[in-house]
Amino acid sequence: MLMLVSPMMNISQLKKSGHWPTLLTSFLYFDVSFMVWTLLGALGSMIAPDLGLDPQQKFMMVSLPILSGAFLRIVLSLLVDRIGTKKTGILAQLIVMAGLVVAWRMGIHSYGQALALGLVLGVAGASFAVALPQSGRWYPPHLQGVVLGLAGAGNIGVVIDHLAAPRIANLWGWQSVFGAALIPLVLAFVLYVAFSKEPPGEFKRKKLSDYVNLLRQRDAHWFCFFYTISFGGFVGLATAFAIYFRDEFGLTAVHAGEVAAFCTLVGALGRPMGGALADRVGGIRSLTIFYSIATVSLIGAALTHNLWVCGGCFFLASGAFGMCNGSVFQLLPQRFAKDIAVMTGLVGCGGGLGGFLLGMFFGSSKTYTGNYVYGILGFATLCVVALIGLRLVKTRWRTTWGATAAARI
Amino acid sequence: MKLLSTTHGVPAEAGRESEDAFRVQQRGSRAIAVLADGLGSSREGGVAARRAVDMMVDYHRARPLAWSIPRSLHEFATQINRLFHQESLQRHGSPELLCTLSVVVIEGGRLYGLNVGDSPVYLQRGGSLSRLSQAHHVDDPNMRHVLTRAIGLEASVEPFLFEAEVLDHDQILLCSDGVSNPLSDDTLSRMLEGQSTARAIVAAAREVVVTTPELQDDASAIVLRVVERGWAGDHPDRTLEVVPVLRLGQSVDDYVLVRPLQEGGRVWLAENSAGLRHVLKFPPSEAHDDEIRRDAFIREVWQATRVNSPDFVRAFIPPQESLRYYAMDFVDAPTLRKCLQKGPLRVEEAVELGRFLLRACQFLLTRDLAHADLKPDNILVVNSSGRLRFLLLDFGSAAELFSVTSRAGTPSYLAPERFMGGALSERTEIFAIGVTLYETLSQVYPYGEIERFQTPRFDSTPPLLSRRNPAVPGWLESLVRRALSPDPEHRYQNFSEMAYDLGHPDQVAPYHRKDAPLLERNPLLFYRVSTFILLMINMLLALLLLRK
Repeated sequence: MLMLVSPMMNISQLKKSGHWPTLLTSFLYFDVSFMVWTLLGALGSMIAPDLGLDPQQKFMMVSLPILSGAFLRIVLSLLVDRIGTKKTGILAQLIVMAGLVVAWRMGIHSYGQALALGLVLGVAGASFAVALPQSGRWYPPHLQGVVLGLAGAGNIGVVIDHLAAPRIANLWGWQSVFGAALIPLVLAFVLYVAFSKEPPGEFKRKKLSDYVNLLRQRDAHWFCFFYTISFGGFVGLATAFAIYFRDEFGLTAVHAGEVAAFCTLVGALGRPMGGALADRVGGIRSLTIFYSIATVSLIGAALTHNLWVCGGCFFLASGAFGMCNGSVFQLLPQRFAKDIAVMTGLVGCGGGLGGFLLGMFFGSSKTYTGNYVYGILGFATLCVVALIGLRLVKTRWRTTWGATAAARI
Repeated sequence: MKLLSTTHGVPAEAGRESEDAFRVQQRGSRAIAVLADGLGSSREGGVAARRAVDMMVDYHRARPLAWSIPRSLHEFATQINRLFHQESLQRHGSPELLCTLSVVVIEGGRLYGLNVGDSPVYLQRGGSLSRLSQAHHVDDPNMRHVLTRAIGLEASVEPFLFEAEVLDHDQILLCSDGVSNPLSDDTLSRMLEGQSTARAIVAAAREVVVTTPELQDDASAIVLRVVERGWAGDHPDRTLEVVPVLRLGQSVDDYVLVRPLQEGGRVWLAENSAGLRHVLKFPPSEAHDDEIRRDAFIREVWQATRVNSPDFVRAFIPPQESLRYYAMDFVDAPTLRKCLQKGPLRVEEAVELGRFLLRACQFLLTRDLAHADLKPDNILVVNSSGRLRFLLLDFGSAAELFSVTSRAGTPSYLAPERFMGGALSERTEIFAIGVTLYETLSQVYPYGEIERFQTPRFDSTPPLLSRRNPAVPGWLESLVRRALSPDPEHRYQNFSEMAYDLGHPDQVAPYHRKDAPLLERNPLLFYRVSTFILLMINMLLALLLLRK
């Protein structure tokens, strides 16, 4: 039975059941990780001139953490089932901190070093696979939605990046940002080690074959693709904004960061709204609306050259993608009820891939045509493909539901 | 196996009806004996006993072969229990459909049994009598008439299951406590050894009661005598394979797959060696390693094959079946959905459709079933010389009333309460019929298309049918709108109520939503009242004018 419970009631329930220090510390860990994950995106426009990078390389550098995060998620989630969540969490945090210490003390002097740091930061992006099961497994099924919702709040980390990183870089140079980022990381790490606890009970070990089996279903393909576009669009734009606004409109790093932060914020806040809307009007319908808005506003952003119009279009696109994320996650647990843990991993991987793809579109477009128009239009085309996919899923759901309906729920 | 059976029952007092019920059915080497004792303290004990016995025998005859006998007995007993409990709560507000239930099935040289309550089952073998059943009553000797478990007492029941090997000359006795209380186990044992019939045993119990009137009760007994056990045969349980992929031209038993009828390739048109065309339905490929889905399919087969009415497409299990699937008659007719794409049905055709749906639903109701997925896609339209005839399809969602509280079904046809955890009921089926009729007359959904996984709102009123289809008369509009009311209390409460309205257009009360203005609900009253008020004002004004 589905009950509508007010969020406040859920929060008080959260305090009573489960283990709230774990919930708090693991999400602190997740949130600061998300923040450093997209750090290179916020700094990209400042690092690039110092290392003499061409646009292709520039976008490669900022997108690589997203790609490596996508695949490391699956690695970490396999590890969680084998050595435990807390051990995996500690290991992942140590790797990220070590990487940042090296970058801060030794400095980044070449494209290769920047890429290496990008790979290491991917581990931070994979924290989702650790924090979520660790806190989620403490709580009964009906509170899982709230736990998932809190996780979504981590997206705000990107906004902080855009606001803080350029300012710190202005004061002490961009290398020092890596050092500054260590402060919240170390804090979260200490709290995590001290207060978080391994969730009780035995859990079914996920195997690589589980992922492969799930990928045999056609719906799984489409859901991965939907999230590739929506989360890819959100996180890809978030990392590309700073460079884009600086290149296109000659803004200073701080100003570009502010515009980027503003555009990203709406995407992060849109997530829960997208989920609520999907429940009210239907997931397919709401996704159709959001993808259409995203397509139109991306085309608008590609074809106009005015800071306000273009910024407005990106603002809309980012918000639409953020709401898409929420809508996808409204459908996902219902469509893949018992496989949700594996499916979340797969879909997240797709999302990361999308972010990387968008970065590559921007980079190649600038390198080969001298502007971003084709890159943005390319991504808009993918949105159209997603719209077609929605039609296909909708017709299939309409025809093949009966026999398995009772069994599924 | 050779088996002889005798049965006998008498009421406690001559001239009164007995609240016991019993039945024995033997087909080939299989036999089932059922005895139920209606609880005297309840209002409908006798009714419950008779219904429980009949349902058990009927269910067992059509039992899904994929289930073991104990599994199916358990399933049927809990289902009868749930049904009686729910129905009695709805009709009486308290559990009144109460009875005991004892069942013995002999098949393949084994005995399988189940009991709820205190009607005992005995096995007499080689001069000794053993009790196979469990007595579900309070232990205190003075309180033995108080049952701790009975069919219909609580929302769920845990029946006691037993099993035994059957040997030549075994005797099995099922009786009500009107027999087992007056007669001691020794007496029963001696009588069975002396080849007494059920009549003799019941008579002996009556004799004892003459001296101890406090034991007076309805008395009935079933005696099964195994003359010759014969060939035990293999276990009838069948585990049929679920084939993951089916291809065109593949042969399945006697059939060759001709053409897939549905996306996903699980429903096929097939032709057998005699040139007959049937539709074969296979379980979803996930059922291969998912027991819940396999079970759901087995249940579907069971529901589909035991329904036998000209309003339904006949479903059957091919005798030589070697894979998991079932067959249906192939009716070469379009679905109602296809017909609607060309245009709405005529009013008289829609009325006929309504009659058909209500008749089919009432038929299912007598089997305690609901279709649970009524929609134009599941209705075939056969055009026999200008007149439309309809057939109902797809038992994938069929279930007992009240047994489903999930959102299973097609969202656009689910009643609003089903989205809030409400149970499948006559009223939710009536809503689905309402949506189907609305669509049939207007080609659009009354509340818009609702998606899977959506929690819709029903606060808008569906647009008037007559606006889209001027041919729709007022009474039919009211009828459809009443079936579509978001509040189940304002809907038709029973199929028969709606069927009556459909047959008596002149008696259909106009339907208005709760918050409709007076002008819409009762225009005559509105104009009368407003005319009266205007008249009063005018007179007042005239009076004022005269005063001046």
